[in-house]
Amino acid sequence: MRRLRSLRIASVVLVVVVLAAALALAVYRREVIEDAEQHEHEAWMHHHEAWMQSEEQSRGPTSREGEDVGKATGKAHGVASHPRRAQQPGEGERPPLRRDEHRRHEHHHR
Amino acid sequence: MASREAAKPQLPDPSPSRRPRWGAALFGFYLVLVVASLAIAAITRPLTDHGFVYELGRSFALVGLSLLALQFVVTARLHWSEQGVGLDMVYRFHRVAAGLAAVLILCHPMLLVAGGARPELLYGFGLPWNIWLGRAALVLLMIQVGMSVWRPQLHVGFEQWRLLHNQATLIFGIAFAHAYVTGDDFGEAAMRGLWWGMVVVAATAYAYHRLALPWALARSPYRVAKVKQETHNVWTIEMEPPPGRKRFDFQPGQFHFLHFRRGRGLPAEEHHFTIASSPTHPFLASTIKEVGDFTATIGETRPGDAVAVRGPYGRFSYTYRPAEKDIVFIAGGIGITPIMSMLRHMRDTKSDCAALLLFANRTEGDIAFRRELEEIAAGGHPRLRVVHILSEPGEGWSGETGYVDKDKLSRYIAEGRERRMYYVCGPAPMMKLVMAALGDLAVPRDRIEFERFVL
Repeated sequence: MRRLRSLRIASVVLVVVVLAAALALAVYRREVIEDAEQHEHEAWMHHHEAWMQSEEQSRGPTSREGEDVGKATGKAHGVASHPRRAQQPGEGERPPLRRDEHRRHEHHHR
Repeated sequence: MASREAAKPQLPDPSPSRRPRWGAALFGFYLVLVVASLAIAAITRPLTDHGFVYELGRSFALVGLSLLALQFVVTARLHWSEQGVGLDMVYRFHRVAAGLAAVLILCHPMLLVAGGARPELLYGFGLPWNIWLGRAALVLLMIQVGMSVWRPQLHVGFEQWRLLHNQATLIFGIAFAHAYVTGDDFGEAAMRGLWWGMVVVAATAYAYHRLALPWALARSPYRVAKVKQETHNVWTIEMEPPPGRKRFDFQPGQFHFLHFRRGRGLPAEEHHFTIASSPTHPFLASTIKEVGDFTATIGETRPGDAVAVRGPYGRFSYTYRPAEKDIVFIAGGIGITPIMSMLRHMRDTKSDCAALLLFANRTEGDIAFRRELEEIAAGGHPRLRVVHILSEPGEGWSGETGYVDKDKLSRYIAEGRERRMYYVCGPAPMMKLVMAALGDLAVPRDRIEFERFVL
């Protein structure tokens, strides 16, 4: 009977481990794509923000530097205090998620 | 016979304390291999274009295929893999794993469709050949499982079923080809490496089990030395090892696989039988009852016939519990054979154990080894008491009648039930009745060992 009990325990453990491992992989992979989308969204927002700032700069300052820019972008005051710079080629468009960025995300998850 | 019985006992060390840990370690390694492909998939391809349900379908396929691959190792009758639990439990585990693999692989295409794949995957005709491979594997696997589960209801003979069961290699080959060509995960070198390794291991285990070892055993077969009729339908076959070779070591109560090659138009099939002789004898003997197509011809076996012998297997032996000195044997019909091996071993090793044998048969004419049992009891080693129980007693029978039930067990084992060791072997209905009765009498489950004839 000890052997039968061992068999039953082993059978239950096998089913649980197999199902848990399969579920874990499916969940893990979905989380990865959601996470990647979040990174992509954040990267786009960052570039968009920079583009808006450079647009404002090209129109010229209005009153106190920083306050109006902050209002125009709907951002908090701290955002406008970032140093201004000239618009770079490709800025203002939604940037594609590069392959190396994918890789960084993978490393992050490992 | 006297010179044979005087031979020095040859018993391998059963090492009972180490075997359960060995079994647990093997099982742990098995689990690692089962989920290894999922782990590699998670590491090498963490990003996907699909949702949870689709990915679950993929995961089910990977792990289901892993289970199928490892079945070739599980069922290869490797001694090191069955030592911890016994071959009967290994085969039962094989059935559990097969059922689980079948469910997972059946769910695989359904989950893919539920997760966004085109429904044509399930019923369409204009699909690539690699998808058709997957379909063929799935259909064959379902047939395989169905035949195994409902073989008695389908009236399929054991040999026919066994031939069909050999299509497992075909099923795995097709399923692997489908996965290798279709699965995105197989694009990674690590995954391909793991799978080719598993394929090589599975193929090696299968080749050893089905080709190399049977070939080697057939080249140096045992020879039938003696055929003895025990009752009207029970025969004992004694077999001697090939010249210059010793027979293998075994524990009393274990079993072996015999593949008779008798010629004369008699069936040449492999079947498992208990070793009824004692390890103290230089020969092997099996006592076989005429119950099926093959065993119906066992009486036609002749001295000199060739037998390929493969063994030993099983854990049904009192030697695995050497500290137990108060033993109850419960046998039904031909289920006496492993117990006979143990009693003969006790006799030959001058055991001081106390043993009670409850031996159930249908009629008085069905009682095998009756005289030898009386002789063992008279010899005092072990201190044996034999109680015969007949379900269809003839006139003049003064012994017990009916079945081995709670009433008889409570009468013959009036005290100290919980500290005795019980060994039960017989037909399935009898075993069920006895197990229930022992449970009613509060016998701890870990003090009961049993042996089923069906693997």
